[in-house]
Amino acid sequence: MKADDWIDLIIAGLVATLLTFLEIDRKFRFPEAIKKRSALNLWWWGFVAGNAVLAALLYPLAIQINWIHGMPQVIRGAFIGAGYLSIVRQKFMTAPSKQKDDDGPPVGIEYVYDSVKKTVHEHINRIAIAERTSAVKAEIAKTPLEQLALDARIRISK
Amino acid sequence: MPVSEFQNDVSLDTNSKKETLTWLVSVMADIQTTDAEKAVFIATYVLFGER
Repeated sequence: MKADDWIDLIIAGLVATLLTFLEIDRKFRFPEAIKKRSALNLWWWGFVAGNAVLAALLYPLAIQINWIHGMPQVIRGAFIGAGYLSIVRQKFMTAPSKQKDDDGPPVGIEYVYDSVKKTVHEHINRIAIAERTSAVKAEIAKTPLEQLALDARIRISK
Repeated sequence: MPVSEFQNDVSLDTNSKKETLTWLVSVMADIQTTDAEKAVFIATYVLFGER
């Protein structure tokens, strides 16, 4: 690969990092104090990093497509970083079929990707539920119901 | 990592404010709900903006 390609590859990784981060950030909510922050960071940033690496690995594949190759530099990297999930969803080959006329079912890495994503999200969600439950219990223990209602009223008016 | 109890804070529009206020009043006025349950609902809203 040329130097320009390496720059685009890094851009693709960075865009994938940002998009994955935003997706998780929108989906899960946590209290400020988190007991299992190390485990959360491991799942969260591990998945973000994994997506960045995946986008970078798929760059050489995407760049072979003529119209992508013809795009201006930087935009090309950003485009691949934003669109790597659709590349993941491409079927690269077909599984062997018993029938002669049938090519068999299409095979891609989508299934693997979706399984990993589901597992990671489940682990993050498990941590989120535990932390949120603890936070709510702590809030209830230290704040009388009337004060909670007042806090809610203030929050609504803001 | 932006894990904050305030990360869901966005200004509510007038209709949403009315709806949320109605929800708060109905929770507090519900005689079939225990105080502990009311506290859970309201604390969840205060901390995470969810109801």
